[in-house]
Amino acid sequence: MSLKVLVGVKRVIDYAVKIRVRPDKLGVVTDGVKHSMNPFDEIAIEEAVRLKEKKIAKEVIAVSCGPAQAQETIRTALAMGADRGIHVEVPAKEMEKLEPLHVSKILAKLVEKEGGDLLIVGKQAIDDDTNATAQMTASLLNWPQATFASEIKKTDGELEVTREIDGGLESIKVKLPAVVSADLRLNEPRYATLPNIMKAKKKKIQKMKPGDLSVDVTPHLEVVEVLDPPVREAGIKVDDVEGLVTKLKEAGRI
Amino acid sequence: MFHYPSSSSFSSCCSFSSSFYCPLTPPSPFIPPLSTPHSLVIHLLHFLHRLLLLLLFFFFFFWLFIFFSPPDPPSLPPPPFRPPFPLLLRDPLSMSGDHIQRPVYLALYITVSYYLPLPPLPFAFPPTPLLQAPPIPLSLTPPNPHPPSSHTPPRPHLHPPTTHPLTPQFSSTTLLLAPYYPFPPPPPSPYPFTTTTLATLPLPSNSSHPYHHPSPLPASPPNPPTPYPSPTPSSPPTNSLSPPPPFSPCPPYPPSPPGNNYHGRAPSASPAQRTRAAAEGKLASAPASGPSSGGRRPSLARLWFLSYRLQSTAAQPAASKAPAKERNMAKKIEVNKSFVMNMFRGAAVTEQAIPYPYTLSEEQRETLEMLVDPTEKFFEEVNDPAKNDALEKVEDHTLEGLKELGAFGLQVPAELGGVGLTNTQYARLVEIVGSHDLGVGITLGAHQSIGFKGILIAGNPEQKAKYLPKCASGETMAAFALTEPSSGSDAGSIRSRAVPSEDGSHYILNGSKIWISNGGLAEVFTVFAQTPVTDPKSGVTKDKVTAFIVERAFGGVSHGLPEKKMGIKASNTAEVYFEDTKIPAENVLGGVGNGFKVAMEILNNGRFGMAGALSGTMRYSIKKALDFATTRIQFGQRIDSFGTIQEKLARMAMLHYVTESMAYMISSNMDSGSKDYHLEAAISKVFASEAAWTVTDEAIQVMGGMGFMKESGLERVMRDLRIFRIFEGTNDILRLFVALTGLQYAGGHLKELQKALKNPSANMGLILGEGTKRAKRAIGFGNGGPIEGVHPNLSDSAALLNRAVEAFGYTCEGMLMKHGKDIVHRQFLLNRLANSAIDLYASIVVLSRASRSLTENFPSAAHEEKIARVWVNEASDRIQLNLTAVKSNISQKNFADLEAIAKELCEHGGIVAERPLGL
Repeated sequence: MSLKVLVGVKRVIDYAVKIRVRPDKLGVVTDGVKHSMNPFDEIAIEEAVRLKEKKIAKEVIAVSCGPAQAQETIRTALAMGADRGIHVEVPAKEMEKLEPLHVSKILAKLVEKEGGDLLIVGKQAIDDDTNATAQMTASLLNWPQATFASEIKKTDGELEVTREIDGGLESIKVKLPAVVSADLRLNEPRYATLPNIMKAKKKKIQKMKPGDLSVDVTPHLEVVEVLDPPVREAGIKVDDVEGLVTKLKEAGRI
Repeated sequence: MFHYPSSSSFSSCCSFSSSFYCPLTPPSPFIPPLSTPHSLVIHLLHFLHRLLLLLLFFFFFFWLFIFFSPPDPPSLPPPPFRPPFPLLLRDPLSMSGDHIQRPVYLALYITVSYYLPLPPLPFAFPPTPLLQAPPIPLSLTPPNPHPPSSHTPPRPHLHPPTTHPLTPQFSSTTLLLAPYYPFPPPPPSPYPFTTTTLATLPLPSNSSHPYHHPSPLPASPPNPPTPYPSPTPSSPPTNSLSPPPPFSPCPPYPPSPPGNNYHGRAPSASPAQRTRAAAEGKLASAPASGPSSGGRRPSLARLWFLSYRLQSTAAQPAASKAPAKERNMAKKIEVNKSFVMNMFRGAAVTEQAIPYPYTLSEEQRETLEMLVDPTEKFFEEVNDPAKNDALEKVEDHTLEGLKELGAFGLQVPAELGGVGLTNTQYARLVEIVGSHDLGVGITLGAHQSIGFKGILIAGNPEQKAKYLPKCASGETMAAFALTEPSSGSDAGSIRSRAVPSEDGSHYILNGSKIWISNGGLAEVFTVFAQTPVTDPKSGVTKDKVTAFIVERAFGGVSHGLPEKKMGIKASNTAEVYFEDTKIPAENVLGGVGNGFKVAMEILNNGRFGMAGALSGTMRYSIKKALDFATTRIQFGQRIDSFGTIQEKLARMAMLHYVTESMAYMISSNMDSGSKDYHLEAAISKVFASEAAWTVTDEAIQVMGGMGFMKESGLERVMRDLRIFRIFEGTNDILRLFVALTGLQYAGGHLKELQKALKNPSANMGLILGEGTKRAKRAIGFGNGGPIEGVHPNLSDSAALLNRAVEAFGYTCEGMLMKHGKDIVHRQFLLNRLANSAIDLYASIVVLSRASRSLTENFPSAAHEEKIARVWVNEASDRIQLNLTAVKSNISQKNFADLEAIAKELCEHGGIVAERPLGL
């Protein structure tokens, strides 16, 4: 049985960029900042493409929610080996308020629509670090989930997944269809090669809006304030042990 | 003696001349007698009025004079024409004396003919006793190897010019009309380029040099007609424009006769002597007795010049010469949109330069955006430049990664397995390569920028289909094999030879090539070798260069050990030997005998990439310097607060801005289909390689001792950069290429004018236009106006540049007039012209880009505006310096001395001067 694999890819601020808080303190600066594909999603795409190369999967579909530029992220996925893309257009303003639940609903609808057998996503996006989409989608679809995967093996109608858990690894079997979230050590994603990027330009990207999937993206949460991590305050030097003890007592530490 | 016009000298000259002409002019009812001061004023005004009227005709007659010379007899060398100009005018700035302003001749003649019964000018020029010339002062030129034969027009002798006693007034008149240099005096300015030159650079002696026909390659025509007939006595050039191809074979530069200065001009009388002579009034009677005659007079000399022109026209053996002449003239001047090309004729043709070209379509831009990230990521995460340098090879996994990445076939069409990038997209990607690892850059560049570029641009469909897919994937690496042990800059002199087999099915190649990048790795070579080619017309068989695609698998191909080099160590460089290598005839690239053209086309086509790559390198070096300068604290301050460091950083940024602007302007022009980019490409290579060197050098200086350490990552870059001034056409050869190609183009336009003058009624527009231009220039009103399309904030800079272009064209014209085809040997001068050309092009590029940024309100517009302003100001100073050096006496003397110093060194085989210690 060849699988139809959907992979969620998110466009995020590049991991190498130093994040700056917006003056209105309701978000971070995104204008003119380099963006790229969420690294965990790269791993997810790589895994899907490898499944395809092993003839386990028959089609890999890259899905992204986001503004027009999210297409670039989908193109990268296509250049890495995905067959086609689906772009769910969410304007940049709304994208700030898009929650994991919304994305999960969109993904679930798409999986149903496309008749997918496997959904692979990154374990979390490096911008809001919610680590919730895979779990919520599995729940919405009522599918088994295998999160934090560091190894995936296909057996008959089942996946053997090795999960990274606190203090070690856990091996589980999930029945297909299933939702898998990729952890760091699942694989090393390939570079999108230049000829493949050129070829990716010819691959199809289907565009739709959340409304087309009858998903309501009204936010449930409100951002109150976004702050930089507090700057560590300068310390002081004490002359001797006595001084140190005095100071610690003053600070109420001992 | 003759100073620049001041009010006093002006009035004195006028009264002087009026007192002379009165007795000889027909009485005019408008001219009151010269009795009262009042009448003197009227007289003056009248004279001025006439002068102005004369100016109207000025342009027309001037060109009749100057360009009505016959073509040179085909079997004879050009007449060693050197008008023995004595000092007439002082260049107010440069102290140059010999600098004759040609428009003056016409003014003179008109002035004279107005007052004197000189022969009427238009169209018929019988040699008159009045206008006969003295014998050519032979010592003014290198000895003429061919004595004049019987059908050379006999040179008339000069009659004592007692017939026109008014000659001194000519000089006075010229003071009114003398053009002056349109710049303020130059301050000494730091120039990133050395202006010293190599005195003994060999020039390619191959007569089929393609430099003067930058036309697209024909698709391998069968028995292609020789595009550049060799100007040997046996086959006179029938279609070559005059002046001749810059690289035509020339007799070796003859040793200067004793006493000759650099220009081969005889020592002439000192200004003081001439002043005395003029004052004593000897001018009217003394015959011009010889080249060293201290008493030769300005007026005589100029008359001689005029008469020479007239004489030669009149004495033209019309019947035999006319058809050839007509053919010459019938050849249309190529229309060239290149800014650089046209500035050699003093025209600012900005079609390709303004507005700053941007040819990427939205889709191409998006594609490029997608390609940039993965490429950058690869070089940051996979490639290790320090390790490549230490290993003296590109690490295996990196090389494999590059192949997978697709970096080996960036410009190969997608249907042949490449990435199919435009030149602009390519430039952006090699910028990334250049900023990370030039060794890898050369490995890639030798493969695709020159290695298989020949197949890409000159190959036939079969050759493309056979070779390009494998080259694009990196499965086979390619190399470009031109240089040989005895053939470096003189690329036409290669000795490798490919002889066709009896049945014509293949060629047998023998020869050895040196310093071949990728020589030890490549499977496919673009090899250049001599092949016997028979001229279908004359039946003469001669060796001509042909390009071949040679596979290592053909047999007989071997290579030497990798060379030990100063820089770009990661790139493989090796000797390659061909021993009875059997090449199928279908592997001839671009047609038999067209090899030289193919080679030049390949190199021209790839040069912009070097500018792109090096602008990336400069970005890297500047970043390093900035990181250091903004954190390093000395004397209690960050060192970026010191003026010394600030100037360095600012100049680095300027050089980078120019280089980057050049790279993308040229790539865009190429993308929009222009073929007129060869000079620009050559300039970009010269500029980029020198600018990158300067920038990296200064970055190391900013970092001090830290910069000298390997750890800082600049030392390797410095070593890697050094070769860029040498390979793919040394900067010295490219400077000569730029200067000579430009001069040739300018010369072609002068010829066009000459042709137009043959039929003045039909070409009045052209003649009037050119005449007006020159007339304006002659009276000091050049068109130093704005350049259209430059942002108003930069209009001052644009005006400065416009004036500089005009002065440059004027100087070029002067050099052409003065030296004729001998200009080829004036490398001291050519290099200065080339440096001016580089500065001019850099200026227009910068103005154009900054204007675009201002117009489109880029965030960095104000920053760019400052860069552009400073650049153009300083460049125009340098240009003035260089153009003055071409003309000034002091420079000529310096050049002669430099030449002598070099000769003495070479004869001595070492330093000539004793140590001050004497031991």
